[in-house]
Amino acid sequence: MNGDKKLYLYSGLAVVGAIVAYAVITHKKKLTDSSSEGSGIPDPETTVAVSTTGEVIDQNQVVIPTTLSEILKKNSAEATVALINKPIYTKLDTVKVRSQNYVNNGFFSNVMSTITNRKFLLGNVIQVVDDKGKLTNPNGKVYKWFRIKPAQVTLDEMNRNKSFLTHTFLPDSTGKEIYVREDTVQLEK
Amino acid sequence: MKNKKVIIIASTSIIVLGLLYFAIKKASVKDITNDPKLKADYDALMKKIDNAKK
Repeated sequence: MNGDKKLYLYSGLAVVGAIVAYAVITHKKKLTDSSSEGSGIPDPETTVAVSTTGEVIDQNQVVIPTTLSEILKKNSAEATVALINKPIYTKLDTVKVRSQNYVNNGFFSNVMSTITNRKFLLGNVIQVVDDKGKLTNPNGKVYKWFRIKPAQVTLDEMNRNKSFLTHTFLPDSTGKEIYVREDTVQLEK
Repeated sequence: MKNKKVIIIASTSIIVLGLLYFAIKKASVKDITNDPKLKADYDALMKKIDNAKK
């Protein structure tokens, strides 16, 4: 290859590289929807709070029941010891049940289904874990997630509510264990 | 011949540096789609407006 051809090649590569870099640098990363564990739409009659990621969320979702909040002050391992095998219920009208301990609402979403009843039995706690993405709650603490063995009524409700995509492509994803976030659950029925 | 090389190198450099400059400039612009605080302010304002309409 003579000198001229090399120069054209390197120039072309440099321009293509710059175009790729432009696309990568200007690609906007969407904000995480931290409120998506609940209804996502604050009730206009209630007061609202703003999460650390900037989402306006319903006050009902922010307020953690006293018994649960005492336990959530501990680390995940201690909270697991305190809650293992205990039944746990939904606190909101709409609660998303996920297959992993973080919010992922992208195309390949980790939402398994939704529970559309308040005070509905979710199942028994297997483990308490920290949010995989280290997302923090309005108090600045990393959200905790409950790994739960779902009850049969929960599975029935999940199967009834799961989306077309989940139904078609992930038919067996419902059943073994589920994750719900701390601000969507309560210990008492 | 030498002039041709200089022109190619200079124009490539201008294109590359220009693209990088505009990319960084565009990426540093904050709006409600990428800045949590701006989004929070926007949402709070929209809620106030909605409440005022009632």
